[in-house]
Amino acid sequence: MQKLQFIKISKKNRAWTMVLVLIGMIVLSAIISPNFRTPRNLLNILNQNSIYGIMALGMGCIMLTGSIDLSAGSIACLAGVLAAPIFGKYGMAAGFAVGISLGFVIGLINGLLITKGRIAYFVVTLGMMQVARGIVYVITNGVPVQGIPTEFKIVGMGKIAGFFPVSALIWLVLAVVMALLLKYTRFGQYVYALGGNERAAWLSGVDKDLIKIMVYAIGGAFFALGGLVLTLRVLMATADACQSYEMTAIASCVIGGIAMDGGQGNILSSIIGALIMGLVMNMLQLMGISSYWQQIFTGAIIIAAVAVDSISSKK
Amino acid sequence: MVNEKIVLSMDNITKTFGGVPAIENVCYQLEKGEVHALIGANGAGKSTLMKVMNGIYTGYTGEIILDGKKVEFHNPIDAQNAGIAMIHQELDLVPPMTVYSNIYLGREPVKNCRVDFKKMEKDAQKLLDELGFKVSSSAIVADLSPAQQQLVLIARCVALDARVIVMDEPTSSLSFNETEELFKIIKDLANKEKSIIYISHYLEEVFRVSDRITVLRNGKNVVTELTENCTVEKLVKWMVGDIESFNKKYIRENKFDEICIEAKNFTQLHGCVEDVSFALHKGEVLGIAGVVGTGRTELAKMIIGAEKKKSGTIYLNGKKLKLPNPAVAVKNSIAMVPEDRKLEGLITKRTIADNISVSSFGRHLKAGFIDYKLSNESVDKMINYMHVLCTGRDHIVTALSGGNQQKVIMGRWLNVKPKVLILDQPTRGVDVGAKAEIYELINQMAEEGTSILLITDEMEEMINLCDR
Repeated sequence: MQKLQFIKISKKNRAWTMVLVLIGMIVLSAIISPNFRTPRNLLNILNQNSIYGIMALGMGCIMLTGSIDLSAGSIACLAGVLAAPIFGKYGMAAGFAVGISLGFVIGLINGLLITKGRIAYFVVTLGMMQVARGIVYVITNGVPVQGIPTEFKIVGMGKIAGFFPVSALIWLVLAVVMALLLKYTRFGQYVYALGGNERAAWLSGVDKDLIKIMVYAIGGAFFALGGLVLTLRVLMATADACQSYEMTAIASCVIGGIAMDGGQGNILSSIIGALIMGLVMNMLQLMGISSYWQQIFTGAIIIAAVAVDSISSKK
Repeated sequence: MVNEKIVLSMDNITKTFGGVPAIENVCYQLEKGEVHALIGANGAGKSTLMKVMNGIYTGYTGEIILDGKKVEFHNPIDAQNAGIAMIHQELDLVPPMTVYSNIYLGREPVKNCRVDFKKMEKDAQKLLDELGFKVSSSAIVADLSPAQQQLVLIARCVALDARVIVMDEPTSSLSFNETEELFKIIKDLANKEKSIIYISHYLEEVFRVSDRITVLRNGKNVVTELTENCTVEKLVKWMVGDIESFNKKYIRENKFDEICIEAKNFTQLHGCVEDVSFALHKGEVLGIAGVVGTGRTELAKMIIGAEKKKSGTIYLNGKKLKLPNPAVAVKNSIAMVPEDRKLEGLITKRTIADNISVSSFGRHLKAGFIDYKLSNESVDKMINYMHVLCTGRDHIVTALSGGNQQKVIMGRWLNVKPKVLILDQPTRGVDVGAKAEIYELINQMAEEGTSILLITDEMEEMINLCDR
C-alpha cells in the first residue's frame, strides 16, 4: 500500500520534474552555446515546435484512452494538400474549415473502425497512415501544391507585437482549452476512465465506443491543424510533409508524463515534452550534427522515456 | 526436538514500505506434511509474507530458514528452485497451450536440440494419473474448467518437486463439489510429505482442510494454534478484534406491493442460461443461488446489456425497456457491481474520487461543465459514510485493500441511487470486518427503495440478507 502511494506522488510530480529538466537543459544549453542564448533562438524553438505541440494535444487525448494514432503525420499532410488550393481560391477561413473537417472525418473513420469494426487500433491507424499518405501522392503526383497568398504566412511565421510567434499562441491557447475540456467535462473524465479500465468504465455506464470515436475525431482535427500551420508556414503543401510527426507527438506526450497505457497524465505536460524534444533537436542543430540524427534521437527518447516510466513505477 | 520436522521457518520477518511496516516480526513455521492455514483480514499482511517468502519482495529483515539453512531469495525462480511453489489466486497458466506444455513450461525436456513433446506428454499424463487427476495432458488449458486448471497448477508444483506449496484462495473460483475434490487432493499431497500453506477467507474451509492455523492481524502474529483447538468465534475474534455485527440477520420493514423490475424469458446466445424469468419488488433483496457456472453472472450481464442474449425482455415499472449496452442500462437506473473487482469494477490507476463519481457526473454539472466542489462533496460524504480507510479522496484506488475497493464500487452506485442494483458476489475476497459493513450498506440501500439482485455463493449471506 505504502509503495503505491509513493508512485502516486512521483507520478503527480512527474510534470514538475520535467519542468526542472527543461529549465536545466535551457541553462546548460545557454552555457554551451552562445547562439542558443539569443532570445530569438528561444522564441524560434517555441515557433518550430508549435506544430508538433498542436499534434501532441490530439495524440495526448488518444493516449489517455490507452491507444495511439499512427496516422497522425499522414492526416496532417493530407489536410495540407487538400486545403492548399482552397486557401488560394477561397481564403483562410475556408481552408481551415476544409482541412480541419477532413482531419475530423478521418479520425472519425479510425474511431469507427476500431470500435464498431473491432479492429485493433494499431492495425487501423497503421493502415490509415498508408492510405492517407497514398491519397496524397495520388492527388499531387508528388508535385508540391503552391499558390497560397504570401500574406497567409502570418499564421505559420507571423509574430505578435513583433516577437511572439502566432503559431505558438495557437498551440498554447488550444492546450489550455483541451486541459479544461478534459478536466471539466464528462467527456474528459470518461477519457481518463477509459484509459484507467475500459471494461469497468463501460459497466459503469460510460458509452465507450462514442468516447473513443470522439477522441479519434478530435485527434484527427488537431493533426490536420498541425498540417495546416505547416502549410501556411512554407506556403506550399508537399507530399512528404509531416513524415513521422506522429513519433514526435507521441514522444512529447510520453516525456510529459502521459502514460502509454492511458488513464494518467495531464495534457498541459505535453507542452513541456514538446519543448524538451525541440530543445534536444535545437542543440543538435547548433552543434552542427546532421539532421539525419534527429530521427534516431526521437526514437531513442521515446524508448528512454517509457523505460524511465516503467522502471520508476516498479520500484 | 521438533526441528527435524520443520521444513520452513520464517523468523521475525519485517517488511516496510515507505517507512510503514506491512508486516512486523512475523514468525511462521511449516512442518513436513502439514497443511498450515494462514488467515487474516485484508491488509493483515498475508500476501506480503508470501511475497517475501517467494522472493517477490526483497529487502526485508528477519530470516527464512529452509531445511535448517538460511536462505535468501531474490526472485520467484530462486524460490521455485529451492522447492517453494505458489499457486496464485489468478490461475497463471498459458491458456492457448496444452496441459503438458504448461506443466513443463520453462523446463521442457530437450532431445537433439528439439523439444521432446512426446516425452513431455507422456510424463505429464503419468504425473496426472499418479495424482488421480482426471485431466488429459494433451488438452488445451483454455478448454478446461477453472477447477481443472487448478489441478494443472497443482500438478505443475508437484512436477517442480516442490516441497512447499502455497495456495492463495484456491477455492475462489470453484463450486462446492470441486472444492470437496480439492480438499481430498490437498490431504493426499500432505500424506506425500508435501507441506501446504493454505490462504483463505473462508473459515469453514480452513477448518476442513488445515492442521494448524496462523492468524495475522495488522501485520503482526496474533496466534498459531492447532485447528482442533479453534472455533469460528475465536478465529473471527483473532482476525478482526471484535465480533459485533457478524451473523446479523437483517429485517426490513419494506412492503412489497410494487413490482419494480421484471425480467422475462432470458436466454443466452451460445450459453447456459435458458428461459429465466423473475420479478423484483421495490426495496426487495432477491438472492440468486447456484454454484459457479450455472449462469448467474451471465444472467446479470445480460440484464444490463453487457452480454449477448437470444431472447429476454425487461420491464421497468411496467414499461418495456431495450438495453443494448450498460450505458443505456445506467441511464435507466439499472446498475451492476461486477464479480471481478480488478477486471471489471475498478477504474484502476485512478483515484477514489474518480471511481465514485464516474457514474454520477451527470448530477454535478453546471452549464455543461463538471462542478468539482459539488462532486467532491458527495465523494467525501460517501467515503465517510462507508468508512473507506484511506488518506483522502485522491488516494489511488488500487492501493486500497479489497474490502475498501469494494466499498468504493458500492459507493459509485450509492451516489447514483439506482432503482435496480445487481450485486455479483459483492463480498468475494473481502475480509470479515468489511463484509459486515458491506451487508449494512446493502441493507440500507434496500431500505431506501433500491431493488437488489444479489448473487452469492455464501449461504449465510443469502439467508441473512435476502427477502426471497
